[in-house]
Amino acid sequence: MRCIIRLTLLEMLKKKILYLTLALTAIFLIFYGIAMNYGYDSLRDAEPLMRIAVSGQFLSMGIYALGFIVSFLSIFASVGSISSEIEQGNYDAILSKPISRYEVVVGRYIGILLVLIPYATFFYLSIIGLNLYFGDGVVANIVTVNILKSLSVLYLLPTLLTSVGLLLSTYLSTMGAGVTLVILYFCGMVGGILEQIGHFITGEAKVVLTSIGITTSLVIPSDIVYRKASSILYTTSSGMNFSADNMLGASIQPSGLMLFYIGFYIIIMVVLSIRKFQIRDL
Amino acid sequence: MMLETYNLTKQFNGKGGFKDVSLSVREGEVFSFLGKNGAGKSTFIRTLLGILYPTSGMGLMLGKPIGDVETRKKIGYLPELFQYHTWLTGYELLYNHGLLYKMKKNEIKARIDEVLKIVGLEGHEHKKIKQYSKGMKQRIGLGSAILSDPLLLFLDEPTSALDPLGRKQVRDIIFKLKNEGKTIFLNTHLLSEVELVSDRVAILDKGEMKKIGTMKELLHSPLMLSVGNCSEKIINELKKIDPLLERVGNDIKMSVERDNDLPKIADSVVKNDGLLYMMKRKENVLEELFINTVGEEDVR
Ligand SMILES: Nc1ncnc2c1ncn2[C@@H]1O[C@H](COP(=O)(O)OP(=O)(O)OP(=O)(O)O)[C@@H](O)[C@H]1O
Ligand SMILES: [Mg+2]
Repeated sequence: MRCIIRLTLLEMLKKKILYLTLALTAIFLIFYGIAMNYGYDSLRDAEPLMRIAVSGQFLSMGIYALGFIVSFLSIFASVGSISSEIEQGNYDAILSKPISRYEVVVGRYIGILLVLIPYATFFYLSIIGLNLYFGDGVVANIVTVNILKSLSVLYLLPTLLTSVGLLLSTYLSTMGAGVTLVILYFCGMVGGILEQIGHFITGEAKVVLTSIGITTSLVIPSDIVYRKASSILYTTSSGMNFSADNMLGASIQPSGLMLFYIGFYIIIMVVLSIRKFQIRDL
Repeated sequence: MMLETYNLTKQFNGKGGFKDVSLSVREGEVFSFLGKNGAGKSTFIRTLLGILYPTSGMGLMLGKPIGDVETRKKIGYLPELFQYHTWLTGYELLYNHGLLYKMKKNEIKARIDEVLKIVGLEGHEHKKIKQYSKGMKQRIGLGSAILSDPLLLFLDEPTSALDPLGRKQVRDIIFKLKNEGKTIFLNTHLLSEVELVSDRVAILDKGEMKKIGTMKELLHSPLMLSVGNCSEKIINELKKIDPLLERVGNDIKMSVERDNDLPKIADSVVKNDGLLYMMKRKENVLEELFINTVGEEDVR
């Protein structure tokens, strides 16, 4: 298993995928930092309510981009994890050696997460850091505990999406898996938005929108993870949630039970991936 | 037995692959699998290695059921299309494949130097495999196959991409491994190669095994003679060795099993005032056998 993990990491390194991602992320952070620098400066003399609203927007903008980028990296990294190796004939080389098939699946999964988790950590802490640094005295008090809690929930995002990508990759071609997961991801997102809208309306429409939202979250809970992570972050020490009430915000806090569901979901995805890979011809 | 199969079958939705192949490969022999494109040769090896699952039948490798993970430590395999891990250098490829074989680090490093020498890639090991030529890729693939010093080696058309020198080198590698007591299972459609290296041959056609045996058993390579002044006396002498010999004018075709009979034949011609213009075993017999066995119609 260690050598499969090793090969997965080597591949990202040798194919320059890692450098490219890090370089582009650095560029993103530089622009974001410059914007924060000027943005927060202009807020210093603004009304307190305005300050809170806009600084909340600054932060959620960064977290939003982070959620998106981490999601897409997870999708790209995982949808080819098994299928591209089949397409390249790599398993002729690997499985003719004393390696079990489950080691291949688990090794690929761990290998991808070993890149995505540190990356998400770095990205997340950079966004928070830039906000705290440039928004010193402007940004509402973010609680340290919440930063860490939110980060640990955020880890579920790559863990979850990669597990779905892994499963799709054992069934479909890389292209097929990619298309499927992107569509699933957006379904989850739209479902999340519908659920939020359902929060503000009444009657039959409320029931329908909310049900659609809940169904999509059960099918692919990626949006829930993102919302949970951001809502934890936006909760101040007084328990007040200062997140902006826009459609992408986090006005509904997903329940703790949902987190259990997600953990279970991930395990099921990985187990099904192993099962499928163990029985299929390569 | 290094390898035994009993009615082993692999088909893809009832088509392709191979059917009911029963064979055994003994320790230390070079076993060649012959067949046209699409006969099922590669499918057979890939099924033995557990990359494909058999539809029915069973097989044993080194005494263990096929698919046993630990057995593969002692198995080497060169796939027919070498196209994996091309983003690594040759050295890195061998190193990582050594890790896949669960070899120790020092052991791998020492072995890589030997292997590079054997497959003739010294000096190219730090180039990316992407930049290798086709033949170099096949060589590094062969290097990976022999890396763990396997007891049983599967080579799927190992010389398809090689130049004549490369082919000779691969033949030499096969001979060397054979001398070390290794067993080699060779897939090929290069008949000349088979004639040179194999102990036993099986011919596969449309997924079915049509013939199996030692080279000798399969090929009673007839002796061709051209004799001037050919008298009845000479023919009667020769009929003592092969009563069924065929004669057309001065040309005689006869079957001679033991090479010890050859000087006797030459003697009886010369002593009876015959003029021995030519005497040789017929060539390309394997080709004839092959074509007779599998027919000349198109590949499936
Ligand atoms: N994965 C697969 N799915 C469906 N059919 C397959 C698959 N692999 C092989 N076949 C079919 O099985 C048959 C045997 O193929 P195989 O690759 O074993 O032939 P081969 O003897 O190695 O030929 P070649 O000399 O061209 O390498 C072919 O008809 C092929 O189309
Ligand atoms: Mg083949």
